[in-house]
Parts: sequence; C-alpha cells; structure tokens
Amino acid sequence: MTPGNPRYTRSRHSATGYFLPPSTSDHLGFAQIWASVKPRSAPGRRAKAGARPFLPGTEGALEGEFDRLEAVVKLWDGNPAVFSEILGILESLKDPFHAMDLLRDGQVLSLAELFILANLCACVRRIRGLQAQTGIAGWPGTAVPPGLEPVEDLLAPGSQGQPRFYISDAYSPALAETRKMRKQAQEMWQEQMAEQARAVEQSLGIRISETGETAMRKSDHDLIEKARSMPELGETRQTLTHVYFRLIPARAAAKREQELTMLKQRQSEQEAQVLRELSLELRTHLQAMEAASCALGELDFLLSKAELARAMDATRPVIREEPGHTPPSDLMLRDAFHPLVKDEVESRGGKYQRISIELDSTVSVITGPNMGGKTVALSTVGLCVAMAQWGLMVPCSKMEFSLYDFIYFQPGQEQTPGLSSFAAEIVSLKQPLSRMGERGLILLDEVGRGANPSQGRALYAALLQYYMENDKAGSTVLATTHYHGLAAALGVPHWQVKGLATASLDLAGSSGEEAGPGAETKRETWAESDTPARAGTKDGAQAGTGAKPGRHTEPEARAQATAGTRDDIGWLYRHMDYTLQKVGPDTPTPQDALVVAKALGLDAEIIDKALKFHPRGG
Amino acid sequence: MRETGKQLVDVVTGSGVRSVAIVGTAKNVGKTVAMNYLVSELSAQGLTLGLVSSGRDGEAIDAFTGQPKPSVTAPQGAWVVTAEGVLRGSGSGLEIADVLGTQGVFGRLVLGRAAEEVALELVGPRSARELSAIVSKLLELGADMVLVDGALDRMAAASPKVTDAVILATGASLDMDLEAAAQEMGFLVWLLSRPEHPVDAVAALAREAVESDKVCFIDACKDTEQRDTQQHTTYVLRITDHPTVLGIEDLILEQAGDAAAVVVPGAVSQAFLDKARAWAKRREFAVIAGDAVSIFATKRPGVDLYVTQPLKLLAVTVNPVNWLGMSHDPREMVGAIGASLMDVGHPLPVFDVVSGEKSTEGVGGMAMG
Amino acid sequence: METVMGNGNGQATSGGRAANAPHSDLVLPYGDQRNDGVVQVSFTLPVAAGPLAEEAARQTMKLMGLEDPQVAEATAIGEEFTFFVGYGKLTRAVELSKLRVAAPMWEELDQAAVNQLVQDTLGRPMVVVGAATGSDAHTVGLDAILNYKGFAGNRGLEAYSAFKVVNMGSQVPNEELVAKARELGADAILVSQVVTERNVHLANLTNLVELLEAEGLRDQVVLVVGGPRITHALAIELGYDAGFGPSTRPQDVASYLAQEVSRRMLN
Repeated sequence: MTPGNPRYTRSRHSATGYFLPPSTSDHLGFAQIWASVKPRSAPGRRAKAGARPFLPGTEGALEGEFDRLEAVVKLWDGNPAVFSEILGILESLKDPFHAMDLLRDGQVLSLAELFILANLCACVRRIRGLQAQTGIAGWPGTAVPPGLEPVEDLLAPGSQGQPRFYISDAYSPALAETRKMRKQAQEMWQEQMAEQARAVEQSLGIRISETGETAMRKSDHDLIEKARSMPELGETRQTLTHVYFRLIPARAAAKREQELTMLKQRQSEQEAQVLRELSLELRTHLQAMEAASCALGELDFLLSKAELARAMDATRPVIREEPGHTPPSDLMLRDAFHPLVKDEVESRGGKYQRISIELDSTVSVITGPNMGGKTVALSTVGLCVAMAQWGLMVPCSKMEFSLYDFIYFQPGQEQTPGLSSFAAEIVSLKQPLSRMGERGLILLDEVGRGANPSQGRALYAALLQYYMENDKAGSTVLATTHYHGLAAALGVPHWQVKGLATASLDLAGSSGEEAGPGAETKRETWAESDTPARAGTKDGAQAGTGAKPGRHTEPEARAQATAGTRDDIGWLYRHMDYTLQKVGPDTPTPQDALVVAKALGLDAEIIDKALKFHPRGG
Repeated sequence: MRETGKQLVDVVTGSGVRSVAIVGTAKNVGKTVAMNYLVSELSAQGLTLGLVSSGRDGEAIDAFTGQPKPSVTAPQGAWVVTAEGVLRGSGSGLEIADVLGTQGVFGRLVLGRAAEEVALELVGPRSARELSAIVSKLLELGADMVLVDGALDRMAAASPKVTDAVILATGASLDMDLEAAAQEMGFLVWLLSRPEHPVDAVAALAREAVESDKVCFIDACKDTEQRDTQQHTTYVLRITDHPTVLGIEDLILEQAGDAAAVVVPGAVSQAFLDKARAWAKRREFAVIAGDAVSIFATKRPGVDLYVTQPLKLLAVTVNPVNWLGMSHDPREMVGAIGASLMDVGHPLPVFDVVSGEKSTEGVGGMAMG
Repeated sequence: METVMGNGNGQATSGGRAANAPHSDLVLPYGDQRNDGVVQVSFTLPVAAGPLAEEAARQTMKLMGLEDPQVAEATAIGEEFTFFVGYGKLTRAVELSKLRVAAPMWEELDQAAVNQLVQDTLGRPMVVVGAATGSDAHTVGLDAILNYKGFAGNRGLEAYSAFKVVNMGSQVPNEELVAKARELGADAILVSQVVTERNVHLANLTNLVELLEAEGLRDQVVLVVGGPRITHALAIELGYDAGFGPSTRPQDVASYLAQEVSRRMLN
C-alpha cells in the first residue's frame, strides 16, 4: 500500500493542502455535521467516503449535485411514505462490492456472496418499483439503479423469490439425484447403526448414550474383553477408572458408510460445479451489478443529505460562477444559523437568533460584547461555506457566494493567555499565509489576544492590512476583535453585534436595586417588562454555556465560569441581541462591557466610577 | 435401553424456556458433548433449533478418527449462525438467509437454515450485546429453541440479557480434587443463583436504577408521621454521576450515607464487595448487580448480594474425565456435585450424558430411575 | 489419499499478515521429494533395548499414523530405556484450501497512511490504552510497541498523530484497566501478557473480556493482546479481537488498529 493511495488521502484535496484542515473542520462544527450524514447501507457509506468538496472550477458539478438534492427533497415532501419504505430497503442492503471483486478476479462465489447478490437484486427491484410509483422522471438519473433481471433470473432457483440463497436441486438434475440417493443411504445407515446399538446393548447389557459412547469400569474385565472383541465397538480412550468405547459401523453399516462417503464427495463436487458455473455466468453481468450498486449507494448518500436538509430546513445556495470581487457582495448570508448551537440553545429552552451578513471586501471586522456571539457568527459563516462546498444544503434562508479553495479558522486564545499560546497562534497563522495565491475564506477570532494589548492590536491590524494589499485571489477575511477602532483604522467594513441595547439598562441613573437582574426578586419583573418597545432586544441565548460550534469552548462561553449566578446569565441570554449590524466609523463605542458587568451584579459604585473613566459615546 | 426418570432434555423442555446457554466452568468439561446431546434429543422431538456460539472454541480433533471434529451437527431445518470463513467446505447444505453486519473472526457472520443435516463449527459474535440480538433474530425466524454454545469458560453467554436459561458444564478439568471441584461448583451455583431483593419496592427501584446506567443508591426513609401506627418505610432512588465502581470503590461507598442498597449497573468487583462488607458491618446494606454474570466474586462476599435480573439455572452436566485423561468415577462425581449444590441451598439436577449417571438430590419432582 | 481439514489450534503464524493461499492444494511432508510424506521422528520408550523395544517403537510409530515405520537408530539409555530415531511415511495430506487461518487481516500501512486513515475514520486520534495486566511485571514488549522510539528503527504508537496513547505500565489490575478505558473513552485496549503457567494467565485474560462485557464496553473497543507466547488463534479463542506474537513491530499493530476501526465504521 503506497501512501499515495486515494483511499487514505481523502481529506487532502489540492496540491497545497486541505480544503478544510481537520482543526478548522472541528472548530466550525463541520466534522460533527458531516458525521450526522449517515447513509444506511454499505454502498451508501462508500459513496460518502468517496465524496470530495467542490473546489473553484467545479461550479457546474456542484450545481448538478444541488439539482439532484433539490429534486429528492421535493419528491420526499410529496411522498413521505414511499421514502420511509426506500430507507427501510436501503437499511437491508448488504455490501455487494466484495462479491463483485471476487467475480472480477475470476473467483467462485460462496453462498454468502451469492446471497448478497440476491439481496442486491431484491433491493434494486423494490426500489425501482417505488421510484416508478413517484414518477421515475423526477429522480436524478444517477440515483436510479438499472434493472438486474438477468442476474435475478440466474439466482432465482436459489432464492425462490425470497432474500435467501441455497444451491437448490433446480440448478442441476444430477445434484438432485445424488442428494436423493444420499438421503436414502443416510437413513438406512442410521437404521443400521440403531440396530447395531440395540444389538450391542442387548448382548453386553449396557447402555449406549445418545452420543454413541459408552463407558465401562476397568474392574469389569470380562465386559471390556467382550466389548473389545465386538466389531461394532471401538475403544476410544482410557481413564484411571474407565474404558470408553464408541459405536462404530460394522458389516452392513460399514459398507453403507463407504457408500455414504462416496455420495457425500460426489454431492460436494456437484455443488462446487454449480457454484463455478453460476459465478461464470454472473461475471457477464458484472457491469450491470456495479452500476446498480453504485446507483444505490448514490441514492442512499443523496437521501441522507436530503434528510439533513429537511431536518434543518436548509436552503440551496446561489453559486456565483465568477470568483473575485463581483458585486453586490462576495459572500451573503441571510438568517443563517449554526445548527449545533441552535440545538443546544433550544434544548435549554432558549430562542435562537439568526444572523445576516454581507461581506464585500477582502477584509471585514466584527466587534461586539463579551458573550455577544462573535465566535458563533464567525463559525456560522465558515460552516455554511463548508457545507455548501461539500454539497450540502445550507442552514439559512439565502446564501450567495463563490467557491473557495480553502477555509481556515483561527480560534481565539482567551483561555490561555501568555506568550506560548500566542506563539502557537502565530505558527498556525503561517498556514493560510503560505497559501496567498489561493482563494481562502479566513476566519480569525481575536488574534493576538494572548499578547501585550497594544502590540497584539498592531499585529492584528498589520495582518489584515497585509491581506488587503496582497490578496489577488479574491479571499475573504473575517476578523472578530475587541479593538473597536480597528475597522476604522483600516477603512474596512465593520459589523457590530447589537448586544445589550442601551435602553435595556440605564447605566447612569440606575441603582443596583432597579437595574440588576442580580437582585433576585426583580428578575421576573425584568423579564416581564421586556416590552416590544425595547426593540431589538429579542430573546436569544446563543452564546451561552456549551453553545459552541466545535469541540472547543469558545471564549465568550468560558466567561460564564467566573461570572455571576445562573440567573444573571439567563438574564443576559434573554437580553442580548445577536443581530449583526453594519456600522460606520462614527458609531460610538457601545458600553456593553459595563452593561454586562452590571447585569452580572457588579457593585453599582464600581460601574459608576467606570462610567467616569469611559463616558458615554466616548 | 432408556433409563426411566427425567433426562437433561426433559429438564430443558419442561422448563418452558426458549433459549438456553451451555457454559463451561473450564476447558474440556464436555460442553460440546452436552450441546450435541441436546441438539440430537431436542430435534428428535420435532423442535426447530437455533444454534449459535458465544465466540469460538478451539477445534478439537476426534480421538477415534483423527479428524477435526466440527463442534455441532445441525439437523435439517435448524437455524444456525456462524462465520462465513468456516462455511468453506461444509456450508453448501445451508440456505443463507442473512449476512450480518457483525464481524466474527472468520469474516462476516452468516445466518442460515440447514437444508440437510450439516456438521459445522459454530463461530459467534464478539460481544454479548450482539449475541443477544442474534438469539432474538433466531427466535423471530421461527426457532422453537435456541441453544448457545458458550465459548471456552466465558460466562457472558449466560447473561439473562442473552438467554432465558443456563446449563452449566463442569468436570474434572475444573479441579482434579473431587472435593475442591464440588465446592467450587457449589460457590458458582450460589453466585449464579443470586435472587432479586426480597423487598418488592427495592427490587423495582433497582431495576429502574440499572436502566440509568449509573451507580445508584436506594435510600430508606422511615416515615416518622406514621411511626405510632406502624413501621412504614418508603424507598427513594439516588443516582450518582458514576457509570462504574471500578477503581473508585471508596469514592462510591463514601456517598452511601444511610442507603439500604447500592445498585451497580456494570461489573461488581471483589474489591468493591470487600469494601461494601466493611460498610455493611455498621448498618443494613445490600449490593445489587444487574445480573449474576456481572459479579466478579471469588468468594462469598459477606454482604447481601442481589441482582435485578435473576438467571435461571436448569442443570449441571459433568465430565468426570479431565484434559489429561484422568477420571473420577462418574457416579461419584455426579453425586458429590449434587450434594454440594444441595449444601449451598440451590439443588440442581446433575448429569453425565456419556455414562448416563445423574443426581437429582433435593430437586423436587425429579423421580430417580 | 485422505485429507485433513484445518485444525484450529496453533494455526496462525505470529506475523499473521493476510496471505493468499497457494493453489497447490494438498501437501505432505517433504522427505527426498515433493509430497513423499516421509518424516523422521525421535522418542524414548521405557523398554530395555532389544528386539522387543524395536517392535514397540515400530508400533508406536504406527499409532502416530506413519506407514512403513522403520527404526533407524536405537540407543540404550540406562537399563530400562531406549531412545529411537525412526522414519515413516504420512499418507494423509493437508488440504490448504480448507485451512482456516485466524489471522488479523490488515495491509501494512506506513505512518502517514495510518494517520490519514484514522483521521478520515474518526476525525480525531484513536485513544489507545496499554497495560501489562495481572501479575505480569514485564513491560518491555508493551513499551516497544507504544513508546515513541519504538524498536528496531520502527517508531512506536506514540509517534503517530493517529494515536493518543496511555501506557499504564505493569501489574495493572484488570479493574483499573477497564476503569481507565472507560474514563478516557478508549477506542482500543492493548494488553501485554507473558503466558507462562497456562491457566493463571489465561484466566486473567478471559477475566478482562468478562469485565468489559459486564461494563458494556466490549464492542466499543478493539481488544488486542500481545506477548511472546500469544498467537492470534489463542487470542481469538480467549475472546480478543487480535493477538500479536513475538517479533511484532509497532507498525503492525498501528496498521491493524487503523484498519480495524475503519472496517467497523464502514460496516
């Protein structure tokens, strides 16, 4: 096995590297989404294992894939019963590829492999029937298996219309005759042996067990001597106390046994002959079987993708053929959500808030408060692109984009500040930088946080500027940051998480009693007074504990560990507005940090002092 | 020719069970002999059999013919499960009805019906979970009785999750000292006969606890309000975060408080039992396991020991000959083991299907011939 | 010519790599020419040297299934024993196509291919817990397989990005091993065992299988045993997924583990 074998290099897609490096796949939650695409049959799993992402230049093929997927989703909506039956059939489908490999090598198939081919035929017949019921024209051609009637005919004597296989008499009259003779001989032999047993039992006055054995005490010398002299008994073993004999065929039975052995031999030769001939004939239909198996695999894979699309009510993305800076924007998402985070939020009774964003510049910046869902927004963008390019419908109401060569996600380093984590960050940033000639979607989460603030900020700004100046491939860089003035300094689009609308908490005039959810008794009042007038403050709690797209806890969520009580956090979830809004350079810095601090019950006096250091709008 | 009185086969048919595991206490205890005896007797009674193994036994060489001996002869009509790799050469008499996803050692497991009498080796699945699914499938396909050949001396096939009932095969290979072998059997039968907790409320909670897959305590709350009229105890389930007691025996027991019992969903180790005994010295305290095969006791634990799913022991078979060919007197061995089971309060019929010796000491309704 | 079917015992070679069965099907021992079936045997009988002893030797060889037994050498050992060297012919051939060899099926993969396969299959490293269990104080074999530097220029599992290795060392009770495997969510357990006195060590190996069953973990792990006297066939009989004998290289184990998880995933 050479390392270059395609079987073992599935996720490396271009000469320069991955479309989706494993760590990025993990962080975006794509690995988990992809794992939830679960074909039901071995051919389906094989089809999935052979899937590749669609890279720039393969827009047509991806459109074709979405055509198929869309067609199946539509059929499914109209014929749910048919689909559940098809899924059941796919579940019962066995892996036919080994049998076909054997046939190709000119080998003789075993009964198990023949059963598997009979099973393939049955599945094909039933699925074709169901597809016909829904109007065969509506099905993608690649997912309709060709009929296997000739193969089915060959296997029919052995399967009798059942999902079974047996070398039946119908395959060979000679075999049928041998079997009949053998059965007769066997019955006669058994009779003769039983007779022999009775004779021995009578003459020796002993009992022969059902296993055909008998044990005699060594002290019974005469009995043992007599037994030894009988041709019907053979001595098998001796122990300290006993001698064991076994009934062996003598005289007529011995002759019968010889005959039986001969017939057995003949039968097994004739059976082997049937298998050889059958395998040879099946070999001529190899192509049809392969086509059918692949179509079933394709169908299964397609259905499992459609299942996912249906489950998350996903949308077909619009692919703009021409990569680069085509107006109106490079990447547009409307009402997008991260399915894993959404599940998590909804499982604890929260209401998930979708985001919309339009990226039309090489570099865009997102700012927002702690726990404001910046990282989730970043992951959602990455996940939608990853899913689209792997041929999956996307979790949003509308998406427009052009294909990327790769996606790179740099997670935040908040948990472990210090130079070593900073160093690790820099080392991994060299990955996307080494691929400047390719069109990348580069998602940066608070790069440089581990470093000294002013140096970190300078470095982040420089990195983004480098992309602005040097990217010729039409890459999209989306960067989250705490540095509020970063976008303005670079002159790039600035997206801001709305956060805690200032109206929701009057910082200046408040006393702790009124303002803080930290005051336990007031908590309900806060929730109840959440009137529509407080626009933009929808319930939503997608940045909370555990609401993380990938396996790694995002920095925002981590804040909870040291924050106030669960109720304070709940309050925060309910009042956080995760909407992204595009803001101009003149927008004042929101005082979210102070609001959050207050919400989490920090002493009012400290908040007041902080306001003096950082006056509103300053 | 036939002796009067109940034989092993009658014990099986009379028990009303649909699946029986034949498990050995050691190697060379005549498990295969017992299996083949049951196959031939049960099929002679017209039952459709399902045959499967819990693993793989070393293939024996037939002493008389020098030929390798397939472990079982499946009568015509029987359903069998084995690996496709062992079917080569002997499998053409099978009508294949399924190829299971489960991998055995010799390739995929194949399920088939014997179109004619077929001698073959049984190879089973890797785990008890898979075995249990196969037993259900064989019953579904129409087997009247499923026999599970327990590979080697592994007990997993005996789990009530897998089969309805168990036959224990033992013999001189367990211990050449008759007294020691009888004692060891007495202990094993005692262990495998662990009942449910005698208090219904506790037993019901214990069943619930095992479902949770976490170690649980059952607390007894004496109802103080009703103390005047009569003693009234209610029981409450307390679920811990631990799926196992292994390696954290002390940590678990420290949480016991005033619990009346601890329910362990997985393995109950000897170390845990030792520590639980020390605990039980101070108060009433019982250990409840999922089933008896999950208890890894090497001696009587000195603490009340119960299960949520009791195991049904049908009989013991005895092979008086050990693997070196040394032998006890069959009658003596059968008698000694029968007496030992009687001593521990769990009498069972004991058979040597080769010599025909049997003991039904203390077993109700078992007329001696 | 009679044929003998495969015997399950001692059939697996320690290397155990999948090999195609040769097509010349019936084989007999090679004496002077192909398939003449001639073998040489030597044994001692507790009989004083002489004609009686030689006849006893010939009969002994007959009992071994040898035809035309000939005593080539008879040496008196003391007064009551005779040492014999004899020749005879075997007429029963082994039919290769009917042999069933329980060998773990894997292709040899290099380190990069193993890493890639595990990444593609699991999307994360495979968690491997290794231990020399029971009273076994030997860890040399286990260390050679697991430790970064490996042995004989073949790097150990720790050197693979595909594996997250936890080596628990020697004399690990089965209970601790199982607890650790559960705690870490192990994908594979590697047990090293020097099978010395047959019953003690074998009982310890089967005990591990039973413990894993009771804990509901058996089908969630690839269970592998290795040691100087371990054969794959023995491992299978004990309820393990694979057994590795002496001269096993880390790469063999790595290749097997990667392909076994992948196979379980696809089926």
